[in-house]
Amino acid sequence: MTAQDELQALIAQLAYFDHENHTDVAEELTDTVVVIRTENLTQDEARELLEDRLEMMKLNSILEKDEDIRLVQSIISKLPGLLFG
Amino acid sequence: MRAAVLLSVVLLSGCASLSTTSFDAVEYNHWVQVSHIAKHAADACGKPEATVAVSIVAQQVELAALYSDLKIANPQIGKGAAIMSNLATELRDRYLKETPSTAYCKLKLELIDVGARRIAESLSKKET
Repeated sequence: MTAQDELQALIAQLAYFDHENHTDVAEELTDTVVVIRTENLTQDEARELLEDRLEMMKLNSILEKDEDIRLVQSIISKLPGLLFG
Repeated sequence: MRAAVLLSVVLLSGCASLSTTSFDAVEYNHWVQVSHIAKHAADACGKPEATVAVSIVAQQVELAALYSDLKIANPQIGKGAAIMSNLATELRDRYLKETPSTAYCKLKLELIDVGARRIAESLSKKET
């Protein structure tokens, strides 16, 4: 599976999560990924921003259960490596 | 006469607890200021004054978070305050080590702005 395929699979997993929980987590992370690419952020900046997005989701009570937070955390942890190859 | 004064003192001290609302205008104002300062600090991103601007944002967040943290009232606000502190501190510390990209600076300050608004909105719901 290529890095792109893996990323798409992760986004699909998030989309299912959003469907089940009526949230927009996938859209928010996708927006962040687009910004990372178009603004040429460094890998470190990308990692930090993705972590910040997770914190804001917790602040807004979009993610409350530990298992949900772990799911998004696991995806966020993979994204910088996939984006920067 | 003395009994009347004593009675009024007792009644008034009792009324203090009855009239207390859970809305704290000082706390609300702190977070509104954080939002305002963060929003306008973004204009400095990519310019030499950015380091000072983000330091001011971090100080304002630190003040607001300290106030919220010292209150006994709301652990949820305390959690939000801690998140905001981490965001602001990270940006300030990053500027001490390097010059982040303009986009990163603006995105970070936008998150602080939005987060502070969120906390202020939560606090305003207690207003009676």
